[in-house]
Amino acid sequence: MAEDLEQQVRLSQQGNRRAFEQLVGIFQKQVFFTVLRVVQDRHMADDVTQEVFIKAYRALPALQEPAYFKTWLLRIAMNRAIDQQRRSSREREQVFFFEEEPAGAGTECESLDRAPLAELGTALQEALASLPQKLRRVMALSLDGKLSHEEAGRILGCPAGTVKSRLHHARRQLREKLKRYL
Amino acid sequence: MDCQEANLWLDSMNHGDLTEPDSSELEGHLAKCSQCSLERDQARRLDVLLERASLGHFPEGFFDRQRQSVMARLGPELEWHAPPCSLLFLVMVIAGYFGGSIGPFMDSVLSFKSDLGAAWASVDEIAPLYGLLLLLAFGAVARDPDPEPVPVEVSQ
Ligand SMILES: [Zn+2]
Repeated sequence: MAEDLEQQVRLSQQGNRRAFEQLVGIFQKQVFFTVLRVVQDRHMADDVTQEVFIKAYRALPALQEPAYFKTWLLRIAMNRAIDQQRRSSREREQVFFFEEEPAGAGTECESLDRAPLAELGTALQEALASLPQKLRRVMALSLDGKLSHEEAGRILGCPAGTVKSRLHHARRQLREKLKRYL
Repeated sequence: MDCQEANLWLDSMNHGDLTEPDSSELEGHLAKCSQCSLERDQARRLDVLLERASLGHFPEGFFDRQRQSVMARLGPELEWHAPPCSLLFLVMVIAGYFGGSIGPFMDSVLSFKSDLGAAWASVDEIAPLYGLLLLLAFGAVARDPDPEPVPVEVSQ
C-alpha cells in the first residue's frame, strides 16, 4: 500500500493529473481538518486547503523522497495555515462540537456527560486557543491521532522528543483550563 | 518516585507507552498519592473529551467539490510527454530533412524567405508527407498522456 502511494506520488511528479487527484482524495480531509484546527474558520480552511494542494502540485518535482509525501504536504499545510491565521483579523467561529452520545454509550465520565454540549465545545476551543503557539501547533497535529511523534516532528521541524514534551505541556495546561469539566 | 516525576509519566501510562519497571513504580506512587491519582483520572477524562470533540458535519459533496476545485484551479496545462510514436515521427522528419527531400523547403522557411512561391517551388512531392509526420509527432506529444492510475486505498 505504501508502495502504491509512492507510485502515485512519482506519477504526480511527472505531471499525471489523475494520480495527483487521487492523492488529493486520500489526504484532503487530513489537510483540511489540520488547517481548520489552526485557523478555526471553515471557509478559510477550505481556501487554504485548496492552495496547499495547488502549491504542492507545483512544488512536487522538488520532493526528493516520495515516501515522505504526507509529512511534506502537512508541513506546507501547517505553514500556510499559520501564515493565514496571523494575517486574518476575522473572528474565529466555533469549530469544535460535541454530540449527544448514543443511549447506553456513556463515557464513564459523569462530569463530561453532564456538561452542556455547546458549552463544552466553546470551552475546549478557548482552552486550545489560549495555549502558546508552539503547543497549539503540536495539538493541531496530534488531535488527529494519525501521526507519530516522528512524523509530527518532521512537520514542525523538531525532534520527536520535543513533540512529546510539548504534548505533555499542552495536555497539562488543558487539564488545568478544563478542570471543571474533568 | 516523586509527584513531579509521576506527573511526567501519567500521559505515557494512559496511552499505554509506559513499560516496566516504570509502570510498576508509577502504580505504586499512585496507590499512595491521592493528588497524582486525581491527576491521572483527569488526564484520562481529558483524553475522552479530546476524542469526543468533533469538527462538525460537512454537507454531502463538500470534499468532492473541494477536490474538483483544486483540479480545476490547476488549469488546463498542456502536458508535454513524448510517447515512442511521436519520437519515431520526429526521427523520420529529421531523417527526411537530412536526406534532402524537404531540406530546401525547410531552409527557405528557416531563413525567413518571404517569397512563399519560391519556397513551395522547392518542395518536392514527398514533402507533404513529412509535414503530416511533423503534425502527428506534435499531436501525439501534446495529447493527454495520463494512464489510468491504479486505485490506492489508504486509511485516513
Ligand atoms: Zn504524587
